[in-house]
Amino acid sequence: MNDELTRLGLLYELSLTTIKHGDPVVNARDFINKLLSRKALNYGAIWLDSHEEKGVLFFKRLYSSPSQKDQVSIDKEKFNAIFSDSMPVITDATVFEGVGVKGHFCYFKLEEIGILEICSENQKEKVSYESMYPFRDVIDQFTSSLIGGFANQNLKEEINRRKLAEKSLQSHKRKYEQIISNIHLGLLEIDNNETITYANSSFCDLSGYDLVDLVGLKASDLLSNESFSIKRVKEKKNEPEGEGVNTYELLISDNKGNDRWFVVSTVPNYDPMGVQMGLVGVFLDITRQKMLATENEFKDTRIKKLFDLSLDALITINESGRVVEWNKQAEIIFHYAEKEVLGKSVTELIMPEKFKKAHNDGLTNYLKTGHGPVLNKRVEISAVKKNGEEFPIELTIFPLKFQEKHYFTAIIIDITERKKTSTKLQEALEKEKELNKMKSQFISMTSHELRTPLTTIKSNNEIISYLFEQGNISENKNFPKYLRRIDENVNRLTKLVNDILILGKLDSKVVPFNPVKCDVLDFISRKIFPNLTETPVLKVSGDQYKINIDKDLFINILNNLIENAFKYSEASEKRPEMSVNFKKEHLEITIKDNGIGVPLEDQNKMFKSFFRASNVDNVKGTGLGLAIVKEFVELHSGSISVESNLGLGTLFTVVFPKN
Amino acid sequence: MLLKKPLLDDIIDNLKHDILNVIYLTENRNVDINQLIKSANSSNKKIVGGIFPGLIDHQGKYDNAAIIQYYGNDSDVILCKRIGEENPGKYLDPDLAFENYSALVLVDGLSTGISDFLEELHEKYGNALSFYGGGCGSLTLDIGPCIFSNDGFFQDAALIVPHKQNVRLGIAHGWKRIAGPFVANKANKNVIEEINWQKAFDFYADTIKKKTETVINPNDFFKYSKGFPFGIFREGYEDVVRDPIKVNADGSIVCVGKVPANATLNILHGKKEYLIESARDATNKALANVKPESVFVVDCISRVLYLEDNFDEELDAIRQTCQMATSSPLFEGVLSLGEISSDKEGYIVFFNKTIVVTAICEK
Repeated sequence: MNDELTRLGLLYELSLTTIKHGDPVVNARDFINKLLSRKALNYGAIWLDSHEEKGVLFFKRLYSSPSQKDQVSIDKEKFNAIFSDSMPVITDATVFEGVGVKGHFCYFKLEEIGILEICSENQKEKVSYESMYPFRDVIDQFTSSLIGGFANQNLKEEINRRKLAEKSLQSHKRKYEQIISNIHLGLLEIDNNETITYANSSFCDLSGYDLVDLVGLKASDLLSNESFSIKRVKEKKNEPEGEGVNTYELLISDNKGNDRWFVVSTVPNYDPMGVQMGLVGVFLDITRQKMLATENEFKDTRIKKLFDLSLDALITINESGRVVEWNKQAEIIFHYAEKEVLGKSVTELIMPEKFKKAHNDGLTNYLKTGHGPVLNKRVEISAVKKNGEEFPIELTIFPLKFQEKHYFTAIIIDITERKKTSTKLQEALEKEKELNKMKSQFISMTSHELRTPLTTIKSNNEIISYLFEQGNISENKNFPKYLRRIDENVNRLTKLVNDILILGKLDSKVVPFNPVKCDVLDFISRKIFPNLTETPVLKVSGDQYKINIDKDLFINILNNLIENAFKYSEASEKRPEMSVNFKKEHLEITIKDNGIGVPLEDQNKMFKSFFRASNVDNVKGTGLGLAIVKEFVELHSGSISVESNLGLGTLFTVVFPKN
Repeated sequence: MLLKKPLLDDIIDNLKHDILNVIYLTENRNVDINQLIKSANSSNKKIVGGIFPGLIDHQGKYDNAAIIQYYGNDSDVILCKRIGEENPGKYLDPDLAFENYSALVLVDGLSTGISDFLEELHEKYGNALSFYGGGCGSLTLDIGPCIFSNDGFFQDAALIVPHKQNVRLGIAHGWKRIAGPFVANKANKNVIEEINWQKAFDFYADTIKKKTETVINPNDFFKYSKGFPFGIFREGYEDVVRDPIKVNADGSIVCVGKVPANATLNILHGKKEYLIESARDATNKALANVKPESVFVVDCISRVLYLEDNFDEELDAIRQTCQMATSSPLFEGVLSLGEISSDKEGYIVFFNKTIVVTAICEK
């Protein structure tokens, strides 16, 4: 049969294969495989022009069989020399770097898009110019088909992109329409004459108007009478005229006449030809925010006033213990100005050294556990002023957590004056208690000291009366004893009354005090000792001199001390001793007994009125003597002290000034 | 190893452990393939194979037999499923290892995806390996499972069995052009709808009648068409034969293997002596200057149908040529529905009515 006819048939078949404008890869695959299956070929590839780099041309693989690398290269000069025209090129090896096939090669330049490379290892049927030349037209046709395929592919992609864009546009339009109809923002469209052309349902709800009422109204008709308060809050600058977005705050009256605040953003509205046809405004109702803002402003002002004008110091620290607020009163109390303390550690500023550790530990513990023993309660503590002076304060601390951070506000009151008043009050109270006690002691003592002698007087008097009635009074040998008892108890009563009177005078400061220069030793010998029932052993030391004394008071002083010395040492065999010591600075008189002594805990109360030591038992006394002695000594600007050992005796020392 | 009229146990007994057992079975058999797979799996034996219209060896042809061949334990078989589906480029995964030299290829001979499968094989491996093999299936031309492995029994599938032995291939068919060229101006895969813009059957029958006075009717189409196959031009080689096997009601002709649209076709005719001579040529070509370990023949079943009783002469020719070339008459082979051969010389083509002789040499 005629092989030439068969070849023509193959050319025909190939030419029909190329009449496709579908996927270029499929097209290339069909074409190459048809060539390989009919010609004595074992390799075919379509390489597409990719890029040039440093004189080297790179081609990327569209299709090859067998498969090859995705990219091959060829020196540009070599390429230009080989592919000078569209005629087939026959070589003994591949012209490309990267092709892993050996044999006889034939190349066709596919216009400007790439190269067809085919190869045969068949030694008997080598590829030759003559055998491949007839395929030139079919390959040109194939090239056009590839170009068409790429164009078709691009066109399809473009159509797909456009379809997608259109779908996206439709989707966005639907979304926009849904948003417009559903958002809580009002939307208003006006034309260039400010006439309302559209309002969404939210705007109708916000304004209280129906759409039909709004359309045709001038936008300015909606403004409140208070619209002088229009405030432009934002304006885009440097935009072409009509392009800018303007934002205002507007006060609008709704259909019931209520004023409502809105933030309004306006943008120009264009027709499809790009001509501005008005404005679109988006309305956000901020009436509530406005009210809240006013309320908050009022609250802030009140809090600031409260803080500034508080009569207590208010100090706020952060969780690092550093000062963040310091009011005027804190400045007054601590003498630090606000600017001196902001950001500084409160511990270092106003905390006494002894409290610093406890404060720091407490702060750390609170941040860890949320518990603080001194929080939310009043405590009295001390603080330190700028000059280092420590003073008492009343402190109340309130913790506050804000935005995950801890703050502590302290209310501090300077209680220095309060403390002083309290001390005085305490003292007065103590005095009052003392007086009450004295009163009780006085009543107790007088009731005893009055009743006892009165009872004795009364009973002896009754005995005498009885004897008198019996008529043998003069014969009764006890009669004088009865009389003496009455006399003794009258004297006792007299002394008691005198002592009370003296004490009253001393309290009223009306005790007469008439000091005169006196030879004390002589005065004792002549005027005191002779009147005493018992006298102590007298000792004298130093060079004698005269001192100023009130003789009556002096007698009372020594009588009291000497009588006490005998009264409380009755059991002792030793007589009490009295020393008169003329010292350089003063005259010292000591009276020492060897009696029962005074308990240590009673010694500091011995000069108080009506006080009697706890160990006096049945020894008679009023508890007034030593109190009067002390007052009398002090009238002489002298002093009296006592030393005593329980069971061993007591030593009183009286000092009179020399001058 | 050829087993005549084997039972399942005969085959199982002859399977080996730790190597690949390739099993060729006749469509007429006493062995249930699913049982065979089950037994092989339970005895942990690796198997692959195919069903063929018949088997051959140096002693004759068999319609109830089995051949078992053993491949190395390093044979990494690829089973490709659903090769007829429209998704080229999916079959060969994982890749074959390039340290192999050759690969036995078995395909479902009635699948419509054979050409695309072979195209992909060439795209991926080119001339790196020699491929040989053939199409499995039934002489009844009924579509059904014909490829099996330990994974199951499949139709529309292919098996690739790579191995490290070199092969030498000889291929020939002996059919000669009697008319053409014509254009298969309308064709779809393996169905020719129109030739020279006329109904395919009308044109085909008319042309043969004009050339040979043979009258072909749709009713006994294959009885006569087996003597008048189509030939697709292939430069430097014999035409690639396409076996017309059936006429559809619309007058289109079904072939074994793809006929590309607009392909130029010739009508071929065979003479007994040409075909037998072609078997001798193919054997000579395969065995020239080699000492093979074995000889494997893939011979088209339609040659048997065409040669009928004379087919023994074709087997004699192969046997005698083997004897002369290797001093041994031994060979084994299959009677196939299409043949595959590519001795690293070019495009991998699915042939019909052809004999492929494979000399399997030492590693």
